[in-house]
Amino acid sequence: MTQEQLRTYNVPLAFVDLYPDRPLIVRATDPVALVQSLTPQHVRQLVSLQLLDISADLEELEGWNPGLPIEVVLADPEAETMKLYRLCRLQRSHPVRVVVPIVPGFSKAVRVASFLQLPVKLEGAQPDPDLIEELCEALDFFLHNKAVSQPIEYFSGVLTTVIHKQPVTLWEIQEEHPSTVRYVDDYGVQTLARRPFIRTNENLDSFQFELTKRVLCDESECSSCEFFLNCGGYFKWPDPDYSCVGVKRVFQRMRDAALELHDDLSLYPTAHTESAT
Amino acid sequence: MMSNQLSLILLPTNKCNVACEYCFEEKTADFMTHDQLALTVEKLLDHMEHQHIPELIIYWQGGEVMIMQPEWFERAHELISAAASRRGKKIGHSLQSNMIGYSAKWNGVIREMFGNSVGTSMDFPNLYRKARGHTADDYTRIWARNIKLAREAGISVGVISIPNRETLRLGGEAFYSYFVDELGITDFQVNTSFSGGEINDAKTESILDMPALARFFVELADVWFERGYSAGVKLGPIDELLHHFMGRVARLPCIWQQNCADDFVSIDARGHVAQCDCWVTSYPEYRFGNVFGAQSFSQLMKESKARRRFVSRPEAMIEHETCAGCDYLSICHGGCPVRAYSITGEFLVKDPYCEVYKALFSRMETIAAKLSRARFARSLPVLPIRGDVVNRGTSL
Repeated sequence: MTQEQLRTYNVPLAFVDLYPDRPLIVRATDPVALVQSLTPQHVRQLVSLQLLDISADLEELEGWNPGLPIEVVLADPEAETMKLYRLCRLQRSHPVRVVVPIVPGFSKAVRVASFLQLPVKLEGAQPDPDLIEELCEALDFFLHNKAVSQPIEYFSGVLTTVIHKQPVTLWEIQEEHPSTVRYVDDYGVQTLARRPFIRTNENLDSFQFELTKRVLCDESECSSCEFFLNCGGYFKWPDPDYSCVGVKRVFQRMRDAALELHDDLSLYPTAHTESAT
Repeated sequence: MMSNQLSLILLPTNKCNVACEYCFEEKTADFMTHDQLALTVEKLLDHMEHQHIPELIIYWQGGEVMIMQPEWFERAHELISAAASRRGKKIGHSLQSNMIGYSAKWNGVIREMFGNSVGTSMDFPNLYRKARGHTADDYTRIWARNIKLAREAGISVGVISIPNRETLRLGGEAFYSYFVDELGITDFQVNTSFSGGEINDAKTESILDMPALARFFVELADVWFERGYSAGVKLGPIDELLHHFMGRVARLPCIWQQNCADDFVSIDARGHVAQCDCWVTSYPEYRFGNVFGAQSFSQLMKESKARRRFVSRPEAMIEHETCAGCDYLSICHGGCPVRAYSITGEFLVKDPYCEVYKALFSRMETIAAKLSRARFARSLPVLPIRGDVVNRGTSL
């Protein structure tokens, strides 16, 4: 199979028939429309659903194709935090992940989602200094709160890759690498599968190569960055002049925690586990 | 993904054979017939199919269930099993009785239908549980005798107990000793009181001073950990909190579920449907509807405005209360609606036992951390340092 055939497309429900035989993430605001529109053939193509409105009546989805992963995308995390409780029932029949945009107040939603045992994916391109502080708070919560048992990406992914010394960047951790996933906007145009979902003039097939070449040029911030192998220039898009001073703080904390965890784990010469019951 | 199970608290009769002064239920003389039970079960099975729920647990309560005859339960068991089998669903049963009407004639049905297990209630000391025209001591004597008989018959007896003002005065050690040492009970649970139904002096005084109650729970937790943990004594919710804080699977009580409206429903002998037994007889304005007259149980649940209030309650805790900032949100979720409503008169407020719960959570978290550290240390290799052998173990 070609790379293109293996690529996942995040498409609006209306375009589901335009990508036959391709792995799909289908997004919609109305669960009823999803259930009524998607045929068994579509379902076979589905990697996951993305529900864009947490206020929608979720009952239709509860018994529909149990086991199918569902991402619920928050539009206004702070205001919608209380609505996360609506996902508790859905979580019984589907793996549910909450997508939280990194905007002011997002950490409240992260906290409550984690307390409800819901995995979280943080989405945001280039956080400003105020958001860096909130990101650090969210990271501390992830690292140290005993009630957190589910991943918060990208914290979780970075921690794992550093501990195991894996050559994986944020593009893969966030499932946003253009070679493996594309976002099809509401007009049918393919873009990068990451916020702010804006169109780029660059060729998506060569985007990653060109970005890497650009950000590693002489004297660039990335060329001397100790975190580049974990980041892959992730924060140099869409604005190539974005300063990474703040995000480096976040990475430094993640790396310190990973090394500390690595040291702790190395004290265990063999695996020790307890029965879950 | 989490398990998907429906829990039904079923009151086959609203009648009771005793007159406990702090009881939250409004008693009536109603009984459910087998025809009404069969109709109810069919509608529940329809609902389970509609909602893709594979399993139902029926918690049989009253009123007092042992006012019914064992033969009634034998027939009920037959018809429920047959209906469940036809639909490919699983239905389990659990019995809660005051045990005042217990005799050996119940042993067969307790064994066959309820897995030879029964849950009952007693306080230490007993202040409010009384039979009509008798004292609390009379009640305690009959109860203790019947518990002894049941246990001699091989029945496993679990006890729910509610602390009162005298419990607090006597303390956790005396409380624990009464149940474990004196009665030989090894599976019991401590609940908190609420002033449900029509108010009276007993209900009013049963709402205790919260800081004193918190101290009692913490003391009891320490006593249990010292004396009961290693001996295998189950003391809910304290033992389950320890499991939780040690990262094990824990069965926390209904008051601390993410949303009790997702898991529980209650039906009384008249077919009234409500959130749980605490609501179904005493708060008509909070009933969801009547299962006997409803076209379908699913429709009744979906269209009930009262139920919608329950479903949305945790959201209100996040929006209006301090719960979102609490580190124990993951195990409490704002607590129990009936405790909030009956004690404060408000529905969309957090459980007034918040401080008691937090004190207990904190204590159990500390005990779990100590226990985990000790186990971790025991599992570490012994590291040679400067030629000596250093044991990194930590004792509790």
